[in-house]
Amino acid sequence: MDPNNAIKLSILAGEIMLSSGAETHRVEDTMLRILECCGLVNAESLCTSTSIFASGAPVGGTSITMLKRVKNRGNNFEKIAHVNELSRSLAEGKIGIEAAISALEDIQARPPYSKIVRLLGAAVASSCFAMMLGGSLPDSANAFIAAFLMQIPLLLLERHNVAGVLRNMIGGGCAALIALVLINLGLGSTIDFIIIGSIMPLLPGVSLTNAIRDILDGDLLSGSARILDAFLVAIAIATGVGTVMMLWMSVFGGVVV
Amino acid sequence: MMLQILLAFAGTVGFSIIFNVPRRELALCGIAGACGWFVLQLTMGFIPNAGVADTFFAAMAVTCISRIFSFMRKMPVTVYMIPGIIPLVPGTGIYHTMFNAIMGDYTEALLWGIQTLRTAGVIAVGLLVVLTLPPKLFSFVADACINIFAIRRRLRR
Repeated sequence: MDPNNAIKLSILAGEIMLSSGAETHRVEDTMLRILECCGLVNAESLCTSTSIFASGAPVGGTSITMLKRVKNRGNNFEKIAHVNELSRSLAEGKIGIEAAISALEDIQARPPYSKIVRLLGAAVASSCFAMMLGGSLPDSANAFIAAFLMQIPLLLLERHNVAGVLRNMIGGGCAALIALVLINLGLGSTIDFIIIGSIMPLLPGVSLTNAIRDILDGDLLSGSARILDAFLVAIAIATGVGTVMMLWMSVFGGVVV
Repeated sequence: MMLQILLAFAGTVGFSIIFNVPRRELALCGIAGACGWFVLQLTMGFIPNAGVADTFFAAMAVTCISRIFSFMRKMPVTVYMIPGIIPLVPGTGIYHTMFNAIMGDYTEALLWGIQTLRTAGVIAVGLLVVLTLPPKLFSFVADACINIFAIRRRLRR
């Protein structure tokens, strides 16, 4: 059994899981289990919020370490589920290392839901949350429209690989702009619910909770990095919304907040 | 109340699509989310001034049901748990914190900020409490559920 391949397999699995939004300790756990069932001794794995390390030695050999920088991070639970299944069948000995590597490459290339389905999902979620937060039925309908329209520029940005702060700022700005237009057309009543509902898919509530969970789990490094990340995302969104609101007030007048 | 639960179900399913949950698990994610929201509303109704206890119980309920689902469907817990806690999670709180800070209302920003951290912390503790319980507890319930379904299917035939 080639130890290099085992490390490569472990790193690949870790990379897919981390970039699909798995928790730190789950990534480390899966990587370690893969290394151990490939027969490496002194196996260790380490995962921070942006990088993964795997290390191990073949019996009687020198130890090998590999590290990987993970840049893009999203949420894709289907991939996490598949990697989990693969690591289980690897542990049961149903699949060899080479076959597992090619299976992982297949998993990595799996397409997500189509764009229109994701758009509708975001819009439905937004309208439901607008109402759950206390909005009325018209507010919810407006949030649906706003969320749907707002996701279109975001998908365009995604195609050109614009991510991070700028994407969130534009998302917040678009949401505020659409909400203001809808309000001034006389369609909605409460601007707060429309804006908050439509930016709901962007807001990092889950990241913040996961970050605190990481810290309670003892992964202090990735936990504090994720808290920072969550607040950065929120700042970007709030800046987008705030800027558009300020501009609208200075151009068209009136108090909108 | 019924409407609220339906909304939580639909909202969670919508979010699950963004998180790319496998198609067959979407409905279960929705149930987890609706269950959390139901427990939250229930606790809020029974205990006035519950503070953070309502969120705590709701997070525990979501994690319990997610662990049962994960044993039933042989999927990682995350697939159900993360969509399930979305209705509880303080996404709007972070936004209010930052928005007020940017608009210059620091008192309001501080209030929202503390409340956000508190809610997120309580949810995280709720998840951890249930996640540290022995797996046998949940696999037992999951097996029981599977058996009940199997018997019912046999009876229908």
